[in-house]
Amino acid sequence: MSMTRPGLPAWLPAASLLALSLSLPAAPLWAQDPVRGGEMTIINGSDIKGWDPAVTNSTYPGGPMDVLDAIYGFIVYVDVNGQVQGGMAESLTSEDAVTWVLKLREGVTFTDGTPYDAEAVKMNWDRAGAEGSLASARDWVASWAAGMEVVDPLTLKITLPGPNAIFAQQVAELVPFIASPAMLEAAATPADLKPVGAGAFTLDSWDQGIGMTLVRNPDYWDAERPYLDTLNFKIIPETNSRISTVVQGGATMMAGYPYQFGNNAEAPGVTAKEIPIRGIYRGYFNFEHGIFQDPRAREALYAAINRDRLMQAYTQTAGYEAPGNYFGEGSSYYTADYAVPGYDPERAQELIDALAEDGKPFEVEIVTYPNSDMKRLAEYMQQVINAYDGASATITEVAMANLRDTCSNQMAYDFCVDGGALVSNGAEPNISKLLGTGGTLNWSHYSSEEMDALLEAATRTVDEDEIRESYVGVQKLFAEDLPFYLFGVDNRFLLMRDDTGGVVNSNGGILQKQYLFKCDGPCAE
Amino acid sequence: MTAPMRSYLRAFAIRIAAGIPVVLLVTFLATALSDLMPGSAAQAILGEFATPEQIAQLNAAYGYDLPAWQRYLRWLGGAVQGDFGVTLYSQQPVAEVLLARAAVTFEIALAAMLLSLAIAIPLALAMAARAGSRIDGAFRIAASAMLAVPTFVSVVVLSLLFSITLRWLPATGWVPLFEDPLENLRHIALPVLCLSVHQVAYFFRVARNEFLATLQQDFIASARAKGFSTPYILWRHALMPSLPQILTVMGLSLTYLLGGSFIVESFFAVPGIGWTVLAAVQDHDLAMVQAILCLTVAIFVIVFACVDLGYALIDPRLEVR
Repeated sequence: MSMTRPGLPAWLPAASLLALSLSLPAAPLWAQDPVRGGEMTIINGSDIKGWDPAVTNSTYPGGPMDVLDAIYGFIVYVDVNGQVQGGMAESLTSEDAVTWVLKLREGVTFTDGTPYDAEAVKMNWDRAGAEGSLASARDWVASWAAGMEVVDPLTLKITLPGPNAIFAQQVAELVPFIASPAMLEAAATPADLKPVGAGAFTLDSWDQGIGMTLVRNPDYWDAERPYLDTLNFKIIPETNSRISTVVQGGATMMAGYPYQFGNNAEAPGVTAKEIPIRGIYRGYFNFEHGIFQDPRAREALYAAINRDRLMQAYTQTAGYEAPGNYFGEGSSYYTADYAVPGYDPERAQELIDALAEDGKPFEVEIVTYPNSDMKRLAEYMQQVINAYDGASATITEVAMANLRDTCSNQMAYDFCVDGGALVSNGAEPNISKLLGTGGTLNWSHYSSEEMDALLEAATRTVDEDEIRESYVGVQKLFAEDLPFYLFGVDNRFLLMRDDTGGVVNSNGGILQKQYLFKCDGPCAE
Repeated sequence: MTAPMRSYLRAFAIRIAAGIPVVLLVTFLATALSDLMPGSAAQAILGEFATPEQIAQLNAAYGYDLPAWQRYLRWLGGAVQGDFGVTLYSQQPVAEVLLARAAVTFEIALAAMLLSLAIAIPLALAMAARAGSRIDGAFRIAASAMLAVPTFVSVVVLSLLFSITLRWLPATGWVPLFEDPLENLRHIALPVLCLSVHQVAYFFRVARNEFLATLQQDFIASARAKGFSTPYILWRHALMPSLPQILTVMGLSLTYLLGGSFIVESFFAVPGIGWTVLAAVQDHDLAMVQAILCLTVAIFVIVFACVDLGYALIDPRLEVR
């Protein structure tokens, strides 16, 4: 059986459009007609920490942004092809990449009865960019917040300080949620924030650390949807327990990877759905101190370890092929001209010897968190590094919650590995976060004026040839500078019941939950 | 009220009163030691992009920056009135959450205890009567093997067998007893089985050794000489004298089951206090951690007070003070 996703823009001439304008989602063509009513349960490993619409992270299905989306709804979202779609707003478009126009839908209200209008959006974005905001995108929002102008209740004009062709994507990734201004103003502390949005669902109950129940928002702008009456987010910390629960029918779906699912994906009543994000697995080199300040050491690590085998050790699954560069072959920006160094043990030993001669012994402290997958990865690296003459590696484990602080803030590592695959099927905003000076994902603290200029050039033009030229330059520089250790790519997957209809992923995996429905029988591919 | 009953109640009250300083000490230490935890509650609430000034501001607003003794007195003032604060993120009253989750843990612990005793005690009696036989040897080996199996292994194996392969029991989740007793039984089964693996073996070994020692006493030989049947001797003469030791073990086991079932609760996603304390520590939810510690210590005090009085109830020769 086949199904198509609603509103997917495979037919769009991406090169000529800055952003997409849709007044209503395209008519869905599912394997069966959507059924109203019913209940679904999405399971995840940890709970959310609050309802601040400006605090956004973790785009995997069931993650914090998925929960916020159910309450607030994406103002615009990025579909699996990297294109911007209308969400709570009709469109966010620009002719020149400098002046952007946000068109809102008529008659949309928050669940407290106040209007979801241009003033509300402006207030939310002003708040996100204000001094003291907890938003990860605070500085970015602050850079253009002064250029917002309410034209009429349904139109917000944003004049950027310079051209930015990917502004709509960035909004979808960084500040997509709008909460009731009345609620935001009434909250004295972050803990006082309540989930008052205009999304497809409203909060019915929340038992911290256990799960929450959301019910259909009867005043949702798209009267036909959501199809479900009830949506549950349930917390199950153990991966194997999550899998067992889906296999048994105790929950509808979970996010993960095939190596975690094993043959459970073939169990009766269960299916796995691939979400094409080209997620990258990465380790960070410390550019501020230690052995990896020297580019020869970074090259040595690439040459010393067979990354296919490293992925095999990490995932316990064979058949991985190490990526050559930041962009994959499926990307329009990909070039085969520049690639990171491949496995070459002799070259690695030469480099290690050369470093030792210069008084720089190849001694590596690997920092990661104590998860079985990460342990296997770190131990495999340690074993391989120790096999080279004059090279040694130690492993330091820190709590998962402290990894960012240890690595990105304290820089207390030589090589730091974070888990999970980072979305990279589109270029921005992650490429700038990873490779740009001061980028929030740039834990290596890599800084290159040339790289910054290339990244900026790519976002300042609407000419596809110019964009591609910039990204080819980025790949050349990536292969030369080796800003981080790119050791694998993978897509995200959903393990789900096969009677789950209306699965539309956005923003790297988040479910557009208003489309979900329960089929009468198996309907998912 | 009879004089012995008054005496028991007085002794019970004395033991509970003696436990109060322990509760105070442990909860105060928890407050003081929370300063040593990496990060802070304010950091956890505000997220990774909060500035030091914002963190300091929230710490001041919530009183997290006060000295430990002041924070403790503030907490104690609320606790004696039943106000343990609210959870860090969902702002639920901690006392309500704790009651609901403690009920879950109590049910599982009691069920595991009863199941373990129901299996282990008759088996231990039977094997003590056949001490040294092949079947006794086989059971002793089995008990040693069961004791050697860590809980994190038994949860995986039993889940694989009963949930994935046979599909008899739900893999995770919880249905309250009064909502649907049958579903409650199905959801409780795997956690109870996992906890019982260790407990059955433990009770069996302790009880068998106790029964064996009792069976070598003169009064047993005397009973045998009178021609009583073996089952009669075991139940009427061997069981009672061995109970004090078994009661001590039950007390220890109950505290283990109530406080140490976090692996089972996490794996089966059972919303009990074991799982809650793990999450609370990770989340820096100090109000919840403090309340759980208070409850756990109180459980220890009450259980051991009950065990002490149990000795006297079982064996009237022991004086109650």
